[in-house]
Amino acid sequence: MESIADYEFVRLLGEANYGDFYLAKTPPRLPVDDEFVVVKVATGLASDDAFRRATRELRHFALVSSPKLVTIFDAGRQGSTFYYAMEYLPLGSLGKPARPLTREETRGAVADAADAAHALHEHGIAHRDIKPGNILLHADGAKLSDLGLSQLLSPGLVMTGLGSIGVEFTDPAILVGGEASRATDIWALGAVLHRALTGFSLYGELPSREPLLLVRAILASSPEPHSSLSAEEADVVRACIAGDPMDRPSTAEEVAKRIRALI
Amino acid sequence: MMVPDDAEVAGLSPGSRLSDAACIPHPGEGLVGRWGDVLLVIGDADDAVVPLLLRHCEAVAEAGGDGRMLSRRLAGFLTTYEQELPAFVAAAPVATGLAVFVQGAAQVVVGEEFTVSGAASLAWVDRLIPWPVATLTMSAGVATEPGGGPYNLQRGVVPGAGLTLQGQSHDAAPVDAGQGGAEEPADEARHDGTPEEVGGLDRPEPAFTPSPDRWPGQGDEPPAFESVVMDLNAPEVDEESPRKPLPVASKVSRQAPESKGPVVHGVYCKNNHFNDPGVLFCAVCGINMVQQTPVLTEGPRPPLGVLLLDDGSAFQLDSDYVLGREPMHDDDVRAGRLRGIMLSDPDKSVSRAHARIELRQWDVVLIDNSSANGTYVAAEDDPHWTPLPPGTPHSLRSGNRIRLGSRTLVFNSYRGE
Repeated sequence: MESIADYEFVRLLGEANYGDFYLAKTPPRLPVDDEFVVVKVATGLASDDAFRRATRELRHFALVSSPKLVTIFDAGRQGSTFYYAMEYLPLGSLGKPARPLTREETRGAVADAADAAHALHEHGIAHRDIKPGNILLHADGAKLSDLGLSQLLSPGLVMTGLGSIGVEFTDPAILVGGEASRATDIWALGAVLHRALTGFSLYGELPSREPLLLVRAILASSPEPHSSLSAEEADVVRACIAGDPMDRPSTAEEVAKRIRALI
Repeated sequence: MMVPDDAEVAGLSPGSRLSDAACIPHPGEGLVGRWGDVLLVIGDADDAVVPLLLRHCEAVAEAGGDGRMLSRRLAGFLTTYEQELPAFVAAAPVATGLAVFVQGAAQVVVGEEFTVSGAASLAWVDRLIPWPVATLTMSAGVATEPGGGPYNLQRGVVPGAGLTLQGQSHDAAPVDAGQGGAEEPADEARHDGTPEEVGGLDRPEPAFTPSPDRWPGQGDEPPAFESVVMDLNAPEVDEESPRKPLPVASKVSRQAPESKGPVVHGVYCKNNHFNDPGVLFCAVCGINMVQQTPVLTEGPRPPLGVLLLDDGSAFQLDSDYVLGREPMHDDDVRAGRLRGIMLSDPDKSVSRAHARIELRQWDVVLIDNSSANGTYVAAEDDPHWTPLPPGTPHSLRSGNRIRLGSRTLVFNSYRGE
């Protein structure tokens, strides 16, 4: 693709659930000073209903003012393709940083994402798709991006395709029909912290890339923090992924505090 | 193939949408229909085949109005239709041009001279007319002409012997033959350089198109789009009241969950999680249900599990579903009563609405929808697939695999049996 609507693409930034990210020139109609924006193009089924739902959800997302949430500028569709534009952060994501991060920076980025998730929760929104690729880095920390749009485009969908990418960050309760909540986002924050600090999933080497086998294996095993974590780090991860939501930190804000308290 | 090179009519170039062109019905015997990008003219409005043709055109329009799909679908239909057919012509765009499908004495005239007619053929004729296309006239018999007057069919079915399609004429009054036609766009919703509407969210839009880039950037005009700028100062930003914060686990999970499900009979565990009266352990907290005296009460049913698909996606079982290659054509899905799960399948081994999943009390029930290739189930580790008799409900157990054509699904119960 070279463009959508009046966004002229500069280059492809990456692929994500349900679509691709492009770096694009900011069109003059947007009240934005930045030279570039990121445009996410979703190849989902942009029916009228899905489009209304998605734009409504994005508006609510945009209403949550947090310096730790990526700013959304514009949402729209062309034909059956849905897109939205958001601010561009040039330092990459926690999943693919532009430069190596120190342990402190990594923890700080997850804590920032936890703050952002908390801001969403306080506005009645569960993020549903917290993972390293959605935690974007800038000079002073990180911002959380990409509300789980795929669920909005396809009602009932709780986990998007693309095999193993999201499964390791998904609270197993979701995999058996649970509702997205503070607790399921907190589970994801623990899994992200673990992956970012150790390079491993909570399930060790994932047994298969075949989605049905993978989900089955994950449901049959219990997540366990890697031995390379410090005892304090492992405690935070373990708290976030506790089987009973009651045993997890009660808010994402508390997760952020506990991560920042790590030495 | 001769193609007119007169491309000054903006409504018919690939850089814009066909659905924004004006469609002028011609007076005379017959029927003229239009559904966005899909056009149809039939010579005899009373023929038995008319409702069937209307349904096919409507379905194609709903699936995105793709011309190739229209031709394939009509060809498939005519192959099995054994009655005498009236002359008719249908058309819809594809990325590279306009697909036309002509049966009998009907004809399509493109620009001044280029004509496709079915009169000399035993079967139908289908053609792809490459962009750019200037004016287009379709008629079911001898060439017809507009009768004058400010007519413009935007959507629906009206009497007529033919139609002329041309770039939007702004003084033409839209004729809306019911079914919720496209609204005239508000001026302020237009973007610079875009010749057509980009406005409100209520414009009819295909629910599904096979290709997201139906209109390659061959024209000078940018393609139409609509957008919602996240301007937080706009008064309409929050048309609903602000949302309440999500419940904090420590405050709610010991109370009955705020499930939106229908009311069913069940039992609450000691921690107040609502359960199937048949389970031994609470599905949420795992506490032993046997040690307490069960009291059968009514409560909202929680989600009964998920359906996992072989592409890694998962759907929550808090609603009934239609599974298939094109579930959006199912009447219940279209009306919003059921959700659809689309199983894409290039080989078409999956039927359009292949099977249904229904939630009955605490059971998840699978029903084959008289699909062409059947619906099969297998227990978790059983290599043998059992076919389901069409229309017969089958209760799923956790771990059951389901096979629809070439696609496989797994049911995971929240009970985790």
